[in-house]
Amino acid sequence: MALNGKGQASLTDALYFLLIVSTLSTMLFFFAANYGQVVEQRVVNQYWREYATGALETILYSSTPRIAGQSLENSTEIDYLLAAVKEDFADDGEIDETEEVLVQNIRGIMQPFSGNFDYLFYIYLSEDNAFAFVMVYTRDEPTFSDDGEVTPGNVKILFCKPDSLNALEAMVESVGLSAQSTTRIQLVKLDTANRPPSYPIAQANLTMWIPTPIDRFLYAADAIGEQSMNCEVYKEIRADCAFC
Amino acid sequence: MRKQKGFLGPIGDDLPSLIPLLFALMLFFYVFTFTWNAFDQRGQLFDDALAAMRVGNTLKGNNYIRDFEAFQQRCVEAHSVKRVKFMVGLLPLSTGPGQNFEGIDIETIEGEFFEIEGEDGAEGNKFICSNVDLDEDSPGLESDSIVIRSFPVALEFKNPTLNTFYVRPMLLVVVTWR
Repeated sequence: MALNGKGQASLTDALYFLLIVSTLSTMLFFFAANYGQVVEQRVVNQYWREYATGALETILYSSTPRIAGQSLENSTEIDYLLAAVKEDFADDGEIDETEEVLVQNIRGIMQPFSGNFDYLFYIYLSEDNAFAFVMVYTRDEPTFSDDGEVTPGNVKILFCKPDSLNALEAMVESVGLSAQSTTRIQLVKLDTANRPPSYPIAQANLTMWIPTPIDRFLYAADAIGEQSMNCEVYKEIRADCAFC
Repeated sequence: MRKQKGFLGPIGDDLPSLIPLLFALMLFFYVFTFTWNAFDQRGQLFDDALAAMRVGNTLKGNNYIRDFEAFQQRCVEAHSVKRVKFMVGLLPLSTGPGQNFEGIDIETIEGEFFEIEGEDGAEGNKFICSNVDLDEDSPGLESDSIVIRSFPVALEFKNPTLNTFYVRPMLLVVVTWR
């Protein structure tokens, strides 16, 4: 009787030991499976931020030929893209004549990432609470056919006139994780009444994010509340055509 | 004691309890090894990713490359990264209508890196930087722990004939492997 009791006690001890080890092993397993995910996300975020910063600076450093139709290599008159944009803005307070070359530069610089990211570029005049230029690059949602075939959505380049900075921030917040870079630039505004020109400070911003449906923020008709980005489609590109 | 009924001996009597004990030990050592490998593997992944970022940051500097000499100078600085093998070069980015960036092909990228033509038939300067002899060891799909990072940079060009200079966007591609 005493021996049987001893055998049962050792078996119970072993089962308790197994229970404790199983619990600890399960905890260790989950810890190991999740180990480094936060760090990994931070490393990736850091890379996105580096790319956004590099892209913004490269856009602002880039040159453009002053004579339409000429290439950079053969042009006799070359200026910084930013200088051309400033000159364009100075005339009438709008970026209209240089918008095409600006869009081409932004698309070219963002193209290595554009398969996986949507992005937004804007120039914001903080003193006037107004936008000089807002461009959104976004893609439609992919469609799925009954036989499982996936058709990627078309890409849209939009020019927007947001009601306010809040409308733009609401859109950026809705996309979740994003990487952005901002820099200050000084524009020039000529006054028609023979007064000296003013030099408004503006922010140039580039924000990129993993494609997310944002249509409800883009068009006034779909807007939630009273805030809208007031976008218009500047160019629609088929999914299989990067630079059509 | 020995004559007592049902007694199998000091080991035999505890045999049933040894089974869960051994199972628990096996489970523990299996999970311990798994965890150890996971730590080791992830640690190496972070090291590789950070090394690629460090090489990229050194080469791109303030995202503006003045000329080939400036690139070479930064290349020398990047040799301080010892943990991984690396190859860095510049690819042209297209900013005109009808032009298209054709992507990065790891097998052929070495030959696609940008080269400034030399004057009067002289040998050109190729924007490539590596800490290994690329004729003997170049990255390929079979390479271990390969990491690719790219960064947009501005490269300055001079045209002595027209007496102009201009800045073009380029893509600094960093490839690291072990």
